[in-house]
Amino acid sequence: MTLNRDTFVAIFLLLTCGGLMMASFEIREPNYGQLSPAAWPRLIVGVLAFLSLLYLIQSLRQGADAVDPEAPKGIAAFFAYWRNVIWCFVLFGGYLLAIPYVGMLIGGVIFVFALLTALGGVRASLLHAAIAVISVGGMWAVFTFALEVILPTGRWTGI
Amino acid sequence: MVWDNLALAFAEIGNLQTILLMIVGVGVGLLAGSIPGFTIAMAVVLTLPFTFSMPPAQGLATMISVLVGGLSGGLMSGILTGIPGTPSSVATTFDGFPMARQGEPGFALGLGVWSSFCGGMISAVMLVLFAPQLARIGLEFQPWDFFMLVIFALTVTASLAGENLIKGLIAGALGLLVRTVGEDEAVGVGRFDFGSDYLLAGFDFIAVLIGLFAFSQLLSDVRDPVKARTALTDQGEVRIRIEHGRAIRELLRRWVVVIRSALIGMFTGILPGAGGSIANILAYDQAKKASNSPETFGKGNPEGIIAPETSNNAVEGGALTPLISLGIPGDVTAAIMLGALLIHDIVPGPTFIQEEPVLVYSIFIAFFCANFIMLGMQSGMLRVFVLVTRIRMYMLAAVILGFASIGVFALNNSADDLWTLFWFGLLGFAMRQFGFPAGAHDPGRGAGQHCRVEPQPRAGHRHGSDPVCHPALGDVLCDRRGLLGHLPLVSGAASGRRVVDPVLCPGDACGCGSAAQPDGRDLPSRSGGRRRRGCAVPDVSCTEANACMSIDPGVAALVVATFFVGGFVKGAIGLGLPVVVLATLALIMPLREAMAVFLIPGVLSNVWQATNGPYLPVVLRRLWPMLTAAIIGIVLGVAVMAGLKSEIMATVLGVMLCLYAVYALFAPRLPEPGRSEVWMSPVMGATGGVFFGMAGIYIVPGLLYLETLRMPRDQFVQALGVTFLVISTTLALAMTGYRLVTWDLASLSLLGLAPVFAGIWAGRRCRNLISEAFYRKLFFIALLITGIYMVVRTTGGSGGMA
Repeated sequence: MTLNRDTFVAIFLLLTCGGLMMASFEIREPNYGQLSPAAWPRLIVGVLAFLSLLYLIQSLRQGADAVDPEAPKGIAAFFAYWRNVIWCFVLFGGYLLAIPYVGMLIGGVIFVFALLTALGGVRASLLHAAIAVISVGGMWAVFTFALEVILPTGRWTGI
Repeated sequence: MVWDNLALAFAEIGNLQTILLMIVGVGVGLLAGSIPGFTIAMAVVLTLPFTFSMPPAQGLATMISVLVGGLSGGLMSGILTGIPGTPSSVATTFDGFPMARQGEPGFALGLGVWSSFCGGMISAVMLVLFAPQLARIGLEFQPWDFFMLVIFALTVTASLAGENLIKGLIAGALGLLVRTVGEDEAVGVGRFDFGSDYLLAGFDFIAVLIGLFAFSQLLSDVRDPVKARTALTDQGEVRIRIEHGRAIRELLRRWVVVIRSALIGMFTGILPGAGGSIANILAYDQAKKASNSPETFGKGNPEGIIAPETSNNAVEGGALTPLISLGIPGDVTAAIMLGALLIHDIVPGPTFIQEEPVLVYSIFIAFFCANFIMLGMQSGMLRVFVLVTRIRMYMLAAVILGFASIGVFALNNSADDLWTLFWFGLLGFAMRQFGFPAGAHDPGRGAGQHCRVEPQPRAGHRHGSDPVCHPALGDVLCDRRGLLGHLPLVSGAASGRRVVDPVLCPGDACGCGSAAQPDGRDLPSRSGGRRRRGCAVPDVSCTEANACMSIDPGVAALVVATFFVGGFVKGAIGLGLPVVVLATLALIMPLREAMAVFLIPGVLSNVWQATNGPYLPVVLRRLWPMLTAAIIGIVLGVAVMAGLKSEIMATVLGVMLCLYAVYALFAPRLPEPGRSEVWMSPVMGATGGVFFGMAGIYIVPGLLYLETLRMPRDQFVQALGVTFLVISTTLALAMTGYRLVTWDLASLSLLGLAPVFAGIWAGRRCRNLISEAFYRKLFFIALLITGIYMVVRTTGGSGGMA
């Protein structure tokens, strides 16, 4: 039997369904003379499991994936291939973690600058800095002063 | 009252601030549309946070402007650079780019701009005309209808999954599953929270949308490091003048293409999940098929620009129609609009037009105004929109992610929503990479909102045998965080707005706890509007029999089978669908209701036949007297039918069937009308129309007369399609006007749609197995027997029809 990418996804989905079905039995039953709050989630998980099973069968019948010449081979190639996506996630995650400490304004400027530099290279750093300050600063000003939304301030910076 | 509301709506939209916001919105939309990789949904969803502090009408007007601008923005880059700005403009490049390269970029742009404008305006007119009518039907929704609606939304969305239906369904189920995470609003029990406060609070709808559609899209756009750093186009200075006059003249000359493409766009927009990306290809394909010179397509044919641009702008009128009238978003952008309404605590649904007339009129006006603004801005700022395509994608991605984070935080002033954005960005990206359509992730959100949450009656339910009335099914469909999930009525109930606890209907045979008051008055719905009494089974206290008609599963199965057989016959011998369906259904239900059930498949099965072919203008020029007279005749016929007994109608039908069958089996060919066609056309049309209005059959004398015109075969087939499309649509409108179409019947009608097309497909496949002559003989003999049976039965044989 030749497995392909869809097979792994289908197995992952089936395992997730199994886990969620078990978790649905942890949902408290209030017994208010009403349908259990777990009924609907169980139904959906059941449907999802059934569909995942069909997906698994379909993927098994499909055979092996066609060889993609562009597909990365090895760990280094994998990271090179997905470099930009990983940068986006890592920097955005870091930004979210940093917000409580540096605030949304400074955190946002740093995040946009860092992402621009990571994706576009260090040569245009000055341009990137200008874009980051103008875009995030402008947006922050619009929300703070025009829309009167209180954006988070940093514990360390006070802004 | 209407004028008062209209005046108020004008006041809402007509102030300087709103107009300025609309201009900015159209500009933003045009910019977004002109940037390949920047989707319209992304632009609209990113606009949403800015509308929080605006009044609802102003916020919606801004979002509609972005949408209208976005739909049109794609044509600029598509025509001038060959790279469509949005998927909605893909087909525009097929002929737009070649035309521009042949030295006529100004003409190509003129055609695109004016086609967009025409598509938008036509769809705006249709939105104004149809939305209130649809809402009127929606007011009669009952549990079964909601069930059908939800299933319809789910299946259609899933069917748009692309190459893999199962992946589409899985994405849809995942979307529903996500909604179950968090606290059950009915009883306050946490679900799938795993002890986390973040999960217990659930996921915010808008944050999920931005994550799925904006974040994940940006990640896909910057995945390739080289492409991310390269300018999207190398288009430099643009000095082109749009040729408005020539384009307008061309459009007027090709008005059939404009109308057909607008209709395709509208219809595609109404379908949940479909959108401009599908409509523009469909319209292009139809324009090519209907053209006398299909070989010129792809080489700069004007129709190749007119068709896709008209249709993609007409899509949004279609998508907004079910949103305004039923609360079901027709596409992703309409779903975002729904989110905007919810933010302002406004609940779209069948009662939306009644409850918020000013807002609805404001939407209509904004839609018209945005198209005019779009026309002006596209003409005046062409150079800017093309220059935008020189921006590098990585810059856009970084800035937009920064914007998105601030906007998402502002939703609820909650950092948790930022994490939702992050996780759903990741999920959306993974789904895209593995071929799961992110658009199908959230199916049925709109449809689910209509299920009423009935907290009190549940305890008092008596379980009946009717599955439609079964409280468990009701709970499944109406669960607050399930299918209807996050949306309106639930929010309304949760916020304690105008909730009236229903009591059990005293005469309710199935004990489903229908929401009628003991004195029989209409109940206020959870959204504050009036709701019809909710008996789903025959009830002696029901004053309107149709409104309380029960849909038996057996009847539903028979309807499906009948439509399949009717479709099969039509596929095999080219005609016979109405005859088979009405003759069969009239045996089990009153003919009046059988006619109503036939309406939707009757209309839709002829759309393709009417528009597919180059003879539409020829047919319309020749048949317009007959069709006009038929319309008048149908209105008269329906007026008569509304007061007739079912037995008499069935007798008329039986006689017609006999006459037709005898003629087809034995009679000689009728002579051509020749010069008499001038007066015979209206006479035959009117007579046929009256009979069609009374019995739903146009064969005697309408069809027989059409045959005498001796059209070439292909032209005759298209003429049949046009005739049946016109008369079926007229019948539908006339019957709706006489309140002869209830939502129960419309549901059954909808149920017949799929089997008809399946039957036509099967009939075509089997056409070669047996000779067509044999098929026809068999069909007409069966028809004769059915006709005789109906006449005998209704004139005293067995005491009348059902």
